[in-house]
Amino acid sequence: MILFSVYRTFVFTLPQNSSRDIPGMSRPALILTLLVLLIASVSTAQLLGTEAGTMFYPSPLTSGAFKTAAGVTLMTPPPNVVEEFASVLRAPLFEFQVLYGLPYSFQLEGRVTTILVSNHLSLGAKYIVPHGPYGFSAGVDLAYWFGKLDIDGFDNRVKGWNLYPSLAAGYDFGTFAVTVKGELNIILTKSQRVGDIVIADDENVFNGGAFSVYIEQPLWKDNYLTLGLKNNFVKFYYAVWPGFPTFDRFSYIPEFYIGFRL
Amino acid sequence: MNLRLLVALTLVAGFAACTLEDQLAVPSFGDSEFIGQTYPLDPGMKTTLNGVYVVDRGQDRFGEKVVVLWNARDRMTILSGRDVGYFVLQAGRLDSVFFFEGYWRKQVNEMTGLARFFIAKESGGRFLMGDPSAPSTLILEGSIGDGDGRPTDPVVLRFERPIRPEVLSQNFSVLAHRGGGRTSDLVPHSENTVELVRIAEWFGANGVEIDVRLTSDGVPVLYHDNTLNPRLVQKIPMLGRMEDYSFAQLRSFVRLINGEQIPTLDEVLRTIVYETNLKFVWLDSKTEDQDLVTRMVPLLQQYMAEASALAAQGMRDSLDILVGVPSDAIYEELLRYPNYTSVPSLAEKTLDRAQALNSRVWAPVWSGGIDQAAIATAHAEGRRVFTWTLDTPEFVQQYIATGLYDGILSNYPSIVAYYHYVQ
Repeated sequence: MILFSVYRTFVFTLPQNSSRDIPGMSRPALILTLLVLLIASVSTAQLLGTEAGTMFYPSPLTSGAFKTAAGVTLMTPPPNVVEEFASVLRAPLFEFQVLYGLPYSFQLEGRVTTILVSNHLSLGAKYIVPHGPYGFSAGVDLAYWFGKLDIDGFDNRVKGWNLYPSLAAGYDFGTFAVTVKGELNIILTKSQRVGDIVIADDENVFNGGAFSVYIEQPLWKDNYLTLGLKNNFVKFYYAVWPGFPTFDRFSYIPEFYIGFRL
Repeated sequence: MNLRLLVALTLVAGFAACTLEDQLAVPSFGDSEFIGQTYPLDPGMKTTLNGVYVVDRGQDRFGEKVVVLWNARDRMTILSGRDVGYFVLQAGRLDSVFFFEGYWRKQVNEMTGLARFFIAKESGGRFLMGDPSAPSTLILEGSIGDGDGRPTDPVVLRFERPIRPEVLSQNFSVLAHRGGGRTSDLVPHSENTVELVRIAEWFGANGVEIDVRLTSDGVPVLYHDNTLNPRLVQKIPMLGRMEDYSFAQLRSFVRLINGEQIPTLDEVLRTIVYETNLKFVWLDSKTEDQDLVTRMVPLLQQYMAEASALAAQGMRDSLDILVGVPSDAIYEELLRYPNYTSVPSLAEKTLDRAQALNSRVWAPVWSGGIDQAAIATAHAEGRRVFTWTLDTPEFVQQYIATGLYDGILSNYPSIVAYYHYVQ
């Protein structure tokens, strides 16, 4: 609950767009400060355990077992891309996540993210290497994303496939776990249409990547709270496709995640 | 504990330092600029330089062919078909050697740098000077750099042919969106400003689209978005609709993202008439139900008359300034205007509206597809047909190749100009 109250205080009371250069930049920096200070101030007594309820900390999962979590991602759409669609796209993205244990330290991970006009479905596999309080994983996710939005009477649609190779490392502090994750973002295909007209068709584009930090803490029994900050540095961010971006340059798009183990 | 805090603060500082640029300075030679020591080019020399050039060196950055175009009064533009690339160059000569200095840019990304070219005496210098015994060859030799760094990467452009007369004689409008480009495309000045309109021709445009709103006290000003917001303006204590503020308030408290003031329509039209050779202005009417049309029409009539007077003296080309009709509300407002069929207008959406208003231009959105029958009808009625807002090079090329359109509005006018003039 400490984490939640801290997060609530700072996410919902800081002024909007306090930085012109990178909207929301000061907010993630502050939140990260708090997270890291919390890490620094808590003692490391005992471990959460290998079968803990964490969703991001790389810990083994018995073959055939599964864990689920639901959460919300708050995202700051880049104003240069979305312009007048900023209000449409400022709504939170709802997330549902499933982990499924496989033999030989492998796991399947499924994730659904939706903001209604943009939807992202991913399925991936990762290999877990536990080592004392440390946990490591390497994996790859394949995602299909799609969206639909009627703009000025025109039926706009988008769809595509992305690939996300990733590496993660976590540390179990006993009362909570911290995980950092780096991932690459590769667009396998992207197709954007207005009615019957294809206005963009791309294949095999290196789209950038992301660096994330997650902190997970049990609330009661096996129910966990997760707070996360994902820093995307990408050319194209699927959720803001209605802005019809024409740039070939990287944008910084922060995502703040709060999730609960189900 | 102190060590932990130090590590934590270091992490935070490193994280916060990960910013991405949202402004891009135009590279400058500074004190090493050379053009100031040269003589200006005659109009005939500029015309001779116009043409399609083969890229002998530098194809990886600028493609196989480029178009050299003296479009602006004071700058030569080189248009590339790759990555919305272009050069903006000043020119001068010493004896029979011609010098060009300026910068290059790829508008879809942040790549830019200094550029310097010359035409040697025997590589076209004598030819440009009018020496009848000189071979009619033109070779621009030079180099480019990154940012303000010294130009060192060689680029060589060889004249292939002039721009085709039938292309030059077309009344084709290359229209720059928001007065020259979007702020988000890192153009040298904020969108919809006097400063940007003044240099729109540098990017190959011969017309501009600008967004007009009314202040609370009825002054037409240029601004795109519905609200004052951090995308377009610097930090201010004012929020909400810009129509809620008076012109004095906006002038006193608001600066656009690159430091400019929000300009009045009057200031921008005066700049266009007296400081550019732009031939077309599309007034995109953004404020509804507040008599915007009534405020704009006298201004456009005044400045079209002034431009006509200058054109009669050979001081500029003629100028069309049209009221854009993007919405039902503006359409209804224009229908209420006295003698509305004589008001120069540009109707978006359906051809019916253009016919009802007797619009000079019908401008269907490009993503609506190509309606050849409707375009033919509009042409038969003496209307021009534009499409908007077309940014994808492949589609620009495709739409120009149809030969059906009289103008294209784009955030990247250089790519429209390239595909038009390279035909």
